[in-house]
Amino acid sequence: MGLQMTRAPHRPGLLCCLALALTGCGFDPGPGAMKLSLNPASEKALADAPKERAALEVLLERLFGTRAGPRYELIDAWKEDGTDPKHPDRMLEGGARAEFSPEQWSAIVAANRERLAYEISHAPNADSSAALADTYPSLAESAELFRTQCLHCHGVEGGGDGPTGATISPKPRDFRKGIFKFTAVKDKARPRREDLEELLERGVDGTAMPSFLRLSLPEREGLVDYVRLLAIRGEVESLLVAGFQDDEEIDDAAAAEALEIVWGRWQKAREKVIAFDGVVPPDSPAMRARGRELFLDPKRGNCVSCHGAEGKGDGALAFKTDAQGRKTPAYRDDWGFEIMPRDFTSGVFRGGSRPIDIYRRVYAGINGTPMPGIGETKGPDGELLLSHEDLWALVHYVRSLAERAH
Amino acid sequence: MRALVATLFALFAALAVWSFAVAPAHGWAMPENVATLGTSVDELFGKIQWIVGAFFVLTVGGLAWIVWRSAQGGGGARSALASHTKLEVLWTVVPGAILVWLALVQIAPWEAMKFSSSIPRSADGKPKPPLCEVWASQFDWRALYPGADGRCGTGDDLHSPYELVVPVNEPVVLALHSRDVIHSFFVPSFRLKQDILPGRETLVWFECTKPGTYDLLCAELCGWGHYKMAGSVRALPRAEYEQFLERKTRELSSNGMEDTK
Ligand code: HEC
Ligand code: HEC
Ligand SMILES: [Cu+2]
Repeated sequence: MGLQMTRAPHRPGLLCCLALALTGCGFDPGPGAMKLSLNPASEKALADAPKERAALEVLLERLFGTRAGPRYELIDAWKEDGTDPKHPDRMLEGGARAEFSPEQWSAIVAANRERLAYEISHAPNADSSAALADTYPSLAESAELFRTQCLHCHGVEGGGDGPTGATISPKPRDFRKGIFKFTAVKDKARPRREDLEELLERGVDGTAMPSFLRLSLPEREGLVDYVRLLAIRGEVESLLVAGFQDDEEIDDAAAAEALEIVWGRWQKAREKVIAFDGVVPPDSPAMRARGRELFLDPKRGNCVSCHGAEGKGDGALAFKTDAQGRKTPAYRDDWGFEIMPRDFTSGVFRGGSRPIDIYRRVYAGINGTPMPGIGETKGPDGELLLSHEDLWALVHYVRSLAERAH
Repeated sequence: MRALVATLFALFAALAVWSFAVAPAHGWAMPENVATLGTSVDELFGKIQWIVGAFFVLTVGGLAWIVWRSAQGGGGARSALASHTKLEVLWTVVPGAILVWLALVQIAPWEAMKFSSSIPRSADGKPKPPLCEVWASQFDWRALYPGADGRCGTGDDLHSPYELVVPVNEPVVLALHSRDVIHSFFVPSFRLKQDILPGRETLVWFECTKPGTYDLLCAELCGWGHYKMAGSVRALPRAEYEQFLERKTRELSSNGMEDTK
């Protein structure tokens, strides 16, 4: 790589010293600066309970470490599970590299062979599994990469509150709720590792979220580990605070329990993958026509209510009219920001434009937004409202709206 | 004091010459050229650098010499109106001639690179059709390969976000588009830079001579996120390129079952 946007040697360097010397104001980060702070929501809830607030800080730091030394506290249940090479973050604090045996690394490489095919064929040294093992970053290294690449949008704790984030729409994701939009899973499950990996490869089209394809694969894997850490930390934090509001203690036992609950949520992803066990019905004018009918039918698809008859995202439910008669967005997402249904004619699909991507959006909806899933919705007769064919017809129709006029 | 100033002038010139001389060894220069047309750009660049370098040393050296001489008390007073006609004609005509000469020698490389008549032809003699469309938008790149219908902008397009994949050792024509504002398609390793205007299709072509991954940058300040408008060009041997297309085509009919394993 010639011009690198990544991994420039992180040397604060001469310039910085010079600037400091000139301005005379030394910068001392102090011992607290490397801490991960509490969620403002927790601060508010614990405003009158300084003891609990302090306990929460200590517990979170014990479970997840600091920015400089992020870690996962091992809980007994995981030790019994043994180690799973596809989930390096399951292993000891500080990331995984040292923990893998050569066999485990060959397993990782085998699992990633298709995606690694290019890197393997062009690796400077032929032994790419060794190369991957050598380059798999520790959690601390990934936290540093997160600091340089993601923090200015996603914030120190992954709260979506970085300085750049203030000016953009949609807002950078707040990881702390554990809600992710563009996943392959249903029932609001947490994303799979692969969902986050693919996301970092392709970015979110039409938003500020860029692709990080230019980072190496191990670097992206490491970032996924760290995003998961921030999300799990945020979820544990809000569970503990919710417990406090139900008059429970914030103590070791509660923290271990919260961690297991949250970890359980993340482990379920694998059982929740949306897939269609059969041959995808091909695109055809007949399928599109059928999709259009469902799209417009208020009793079946009813997409029209939000996305509008032309799919421009201007359906009746999308707007509300304020006292002055102005139209404003009717919906807010789970993070509290105004949101509009997608305009399909823009040709931009944020979660990917392949039929299977759209299928998953239509099947399970988009987490954290009003976009409903319709894959398992039952009709008044107790039967599924839409057949698989119907769903694929909707997919083909929605994708056809994004075609350019010829 | 004047002696110090003269020395600084001279040092400055020496430093500039030194930095150009050692640049390639330190990776401060352009990355290695890996495209056929890049050679002519590099030659032109080299010529211009020598000329500019020579004049730079000449003028800064002259300046240093004059300051030095007057610091030693030499030179004497001069009227502001004093002039030397022959010298002035010389330093107007010589650089002028060099500029005209440069304007002439750059015509051929420019024509080969940018003229629509230079777009490589296929076997049937017609201009080669674009391999794919490259869409720039605030702030990303997206390559769109035509599917079975041979056209872009339809449902069977193959999307490659942030990564343009091309075969090596054959001419590649691209159709550049912008979704919003003016961007500029820049691949330093190909010595190729082309502005992209919204609402218009711009063709470029190149032939990459070495498999590898190269930077694809936006070279037109296009908004706050311009800095992150960075993608890559991956140049592959023909067979691997075909595999890439096959994989993308397969993804289009994926039922997601491979994700459940
Ligand atoms: C320039 C701002 C910006 C930068 C830099 C950035 N992101 Fe994002 N990111 C966003 C925005 C905006 C969204 C929300 C997109 C949406 O809601 O559709 C997002 C969403 C996400 C999501 C959630 C996707 C989902 O399915 O819900 C993840 C995970 C993520 N970013 C990770 C990262 C990581 C890791 C990095 C650094 C390597 C990073 N981002 C850098 C702006 C940014
Ligand atoms: C209650 C309103 C509502 C209804 C009803 C609705 N949608 Fe949506 N839809 C949304 C919103 C809001 C978004 C944007 C979510 C976001 O910004 O992340 C969206 C986004 C989408 C996307 C975006 C995919 C992408 O990657 O960009 C697709 C596809 C979609 N809807 C299809 C449908 C279909 C098909 C139906 C009918 C079965 C439907 N929607 C019904 C509100 C709705
Ligand atoms: Cu740009």
